[in-house]
Amino acid sequence: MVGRERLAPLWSLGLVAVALGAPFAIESSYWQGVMAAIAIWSIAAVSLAQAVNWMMRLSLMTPALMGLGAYAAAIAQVEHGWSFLPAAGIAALAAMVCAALVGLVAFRSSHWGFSIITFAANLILVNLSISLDDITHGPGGYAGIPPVQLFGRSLESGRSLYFLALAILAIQLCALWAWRRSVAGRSARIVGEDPQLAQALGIPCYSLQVCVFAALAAPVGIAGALYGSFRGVVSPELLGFTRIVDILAMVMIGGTKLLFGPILGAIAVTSLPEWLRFLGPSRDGVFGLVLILIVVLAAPRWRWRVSTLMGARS
Amino acid sequence: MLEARQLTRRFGGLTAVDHVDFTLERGQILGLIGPNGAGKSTLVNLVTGFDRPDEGSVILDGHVLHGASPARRARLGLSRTFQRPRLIANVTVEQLLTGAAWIVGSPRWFVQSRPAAAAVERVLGQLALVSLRDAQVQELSSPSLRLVQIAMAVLTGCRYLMLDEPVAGLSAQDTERVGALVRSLAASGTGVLLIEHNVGFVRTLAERVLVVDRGRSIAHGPTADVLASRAVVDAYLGTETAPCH
Amino acid sequence: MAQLLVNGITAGVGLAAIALGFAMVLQWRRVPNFAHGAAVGVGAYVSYSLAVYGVPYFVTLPAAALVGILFGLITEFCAIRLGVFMTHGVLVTTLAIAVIARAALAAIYGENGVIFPPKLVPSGHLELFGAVLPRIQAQAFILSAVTILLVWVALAKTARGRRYALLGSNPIAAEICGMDRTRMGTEIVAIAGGLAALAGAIAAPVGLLTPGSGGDALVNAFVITILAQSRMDLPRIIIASLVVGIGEAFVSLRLNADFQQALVYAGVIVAVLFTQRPNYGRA
Repeated sequence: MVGRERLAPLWSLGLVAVALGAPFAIESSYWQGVMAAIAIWSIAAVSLAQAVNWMMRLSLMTPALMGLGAYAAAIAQVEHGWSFLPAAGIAALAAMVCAALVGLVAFRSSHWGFSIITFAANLILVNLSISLDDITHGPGGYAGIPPVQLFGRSLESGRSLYFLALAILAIQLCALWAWRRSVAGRSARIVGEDPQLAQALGIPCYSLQVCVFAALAAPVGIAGALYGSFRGVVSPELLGFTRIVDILAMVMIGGTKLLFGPILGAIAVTSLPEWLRFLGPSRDGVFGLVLILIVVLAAPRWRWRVSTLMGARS
Repeated sequence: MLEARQLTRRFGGLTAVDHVDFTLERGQILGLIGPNGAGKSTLVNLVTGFDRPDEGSVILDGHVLHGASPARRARLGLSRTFQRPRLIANVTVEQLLTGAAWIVGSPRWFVQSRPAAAAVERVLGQLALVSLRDAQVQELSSPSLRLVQIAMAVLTGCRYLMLDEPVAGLSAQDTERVGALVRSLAASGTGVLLIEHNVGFVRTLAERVLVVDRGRSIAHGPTADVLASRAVVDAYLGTETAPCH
Repeated sequence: MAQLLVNGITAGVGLAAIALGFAMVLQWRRVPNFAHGAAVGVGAYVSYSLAVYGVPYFVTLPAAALVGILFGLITEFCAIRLGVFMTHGVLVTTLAIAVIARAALAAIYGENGVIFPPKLVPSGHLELFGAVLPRIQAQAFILSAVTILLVWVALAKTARGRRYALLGSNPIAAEICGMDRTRMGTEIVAIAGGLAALAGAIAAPVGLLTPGSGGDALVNAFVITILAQSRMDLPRIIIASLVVGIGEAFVSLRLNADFQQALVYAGVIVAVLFTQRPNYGRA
C-alpha cells in the first residue's frame, strides 16, 4: 500500500505528460480527431463510473443524456446564435434536469428496476429524438453546428478540441476528487454501500441520490455539446443502444475504483474499431470477444476460472 | 418521550411482536431482554422505521411517526445500532465517522463543521478508538468494529438511541467503556434502549427493564422488581441466576 | 376493443414463450442471461434458413430447438462460467455473446430484414368476435400456447422440474440433498436456450425478421420477468406477458405511431415502479 501511494504521484505526472504530449507526437490529424473523441467519451465514462461506484446502481441512460446535451447545445448555437460556453451551460442544465426527473422515479425502485427505468428512459429519448423532427431535424441528424469559438479563436482541428476536452476532463476529475473527500461525499458513499446504515444515521438517502445523479449528469451534457461541435452534426445514433454498450464497456474495462480508470476504457473502446478497421463489418463480433476477454482477465483468481470451466462449484 | 403503543408485527402465521407497549424518557436507560427469537430486534425495527407495524403506533415527543422512513426518524432524534456490524470498505475510521456526522452541527456539505469535528474527537476518546482513527475499516477486528458502530450512532446526536446488543463479544474493558458511554449519554439527556443478553450489564445500567418472550411483553418496570419476578425468572433467567429474596 | 384484445392476447402468449427461458435462468440459475434474445434470434433465423431450402415449417421447429440447446451450452461455458466472478460480470459476458451473435447474423443474412417464404406460411385471415386475426398469427398463438403448456407439464409434474425449482429457491438445500448444482445449472441454461430458439422459430414467420429482432425479444423478456417479480411462476409470467402484449397492442392501435416506442417504454417505467421495491431497509 505504501509503495503504491508513493508511486501514485509519479503515475499521475506520467499520465499527464502523455496526455499533453500525445497530440504533438502523433502528427496525423485523423488520429488527433480520434484522441479528441477519446477525451470526450472519457468525460461521460468517468461520470458513469462514479455513479456506479457511489450509488451501486447501474445507470443505462448516459448516451441519452449526452445526446440531450448535444441537441440542446446545437439548437442554442444554430438557432439562437449562442457561443459555445453558454451553449455548453444549457447542455449541462438540460442533462441535469433530465437526470433529476428520471432519478426521482428510478430511485424509488430496486437496483434492477433502476437499470430498467434508466434504460427505458434512454430508449424514450431515442424515440423522441427521431419523432420530434421539428425540433431535432429527425433521423438525419441536426447539422450545421459551428465550430467552437473561444477567446476569439476558432477551434476547428482535432488537436484543439482534444485540449478543450482534456481541460474539461481535468476540471471534472478535480471536482470528483474533492467531492470524495468531502462530508457529503462520504455520506453518499455510505448510502451506496449500506443503505440501512445510512438510514440509521439520518442521511436523506433518496434526496442525496437524486442530487448526486443529477450533478453527475452535468459533465455528460457538456461532453455531448463537445461532441456536437466536434462532428458538426448530432444524430439520434448518438443515443442508441450500441452507445450504451460502448460506454458500459468503457466503465467495465477501466473499472470504477480509480478515478481515471474509465479513461483507459475510453481509449480502448474508441481506438479499437480504428485498429480493427481492416476486419470490416466483423468489428462488432470482435468487440464482443474483447468484452468476454476483459471479464476473464479481471477475475480475481486464475485457478477459480479454470476449475469452474471443469465444472467445480461456481 | 418515546412511546410505543400496542406494536404488533405478524409474519404469516407467526406473531413476532404482540401488542407491546413501552415508554422511554429522555435521560433514561431502558433495558430490553428476552430469550433468542423473542422479537427484540423486530421490535427495534418497528420503532426505528425499518419495518412497518401491522398494528400500533410509535410516538416521538408527541409526534406520531406514521410510516416515516428511518432516516427521517433519525433526523427527528431517534437512531440505532445493528446487531451485525455494517462494513464500508476502503475508508478509514475517521473518514467513516466524518461521513456519519451528518446531523451534528447542522450538515455542511464540503467542509466538516467545527462542532462535528469536536464530536468526532470526543467519541473517539470515549471509546478509546483514537489509536485506530487511521485504520481501514475492513481491517478492524470485530469488537473494534462494534465500537465504531456505536460511535457512529452517538454522532447522530440523537435524543433516543436503540443499542442492539452493543457489548456482545467485547472484552471486559471494552464493556466497561461502553457502559460508561451509555451512562454519559443518559446523563446528557439521551434516552437509551439497551438490548442485551448480558443481564448483568443491563442490571448495572438500566433503571427500568422490558422483558419480552415470544413477542409478548411479560414485564415492564423498575429493574430490580422485574428481574426478581417469578414470570421473568421462569421464562428467561432460570432458577440458578434468580436473586435470593 | 375486440381487436385490441385479440392482438394483445396473441402477442402476449408469444411473448410468454419467449420470456419463459429468461425467467428460468434468472430464477433458477440466478444469473441474467442477456444472450437469451440472441438465442431467440438464432432460432428464428435457423427456421428461416431451413424453410428457404424447402424444409417443411413444422420440421424446422425441433431443428431450431436443437440449435438453441447448443447455443445455450455455448452461453453457459463461454460466458456464464466466466462471468460469475465479477459484479455484473455475467450481464456483460452474455451481452457480449449477444453482440457476437448479432454480428454473425448480420454478416450472414445482411442488415435488412428477411421475410419468411410465403408458400410456407398460412395466408388469409380469421374473423374472431369482429376482430381480424391473420392466420399466421393464429398459428403462432397456438404453437406458443402448446409450448407453454408442455413446459408447464414438464416442469410441474416431473421430478426434474421440481428439482430445478428447489435449486432456484434454496440452492444450499439443493446441495445438501446431493444435487449437482453446476450440472443442473448447465441443463437449465441449455433448456432455456432451446426454448428460446423454439419461441423464435414460432415467431419467425410473423412479420419482418432482422438481426435486431433478438434484441427486442430480450428487452421484452427482461421486462416481463421483472414484472413477474423475477419468480419462475408460470401464471405470473403469463399475466405479465399479457399485460405487455395488450399494452403494446393498445399503443400501436390507438396512439400515434410516432411515439409508439416512447409510450411503450413509459409504460414499462410505470409497471416497474409498481412491482419493484427499493431496498432502503423498509418493509
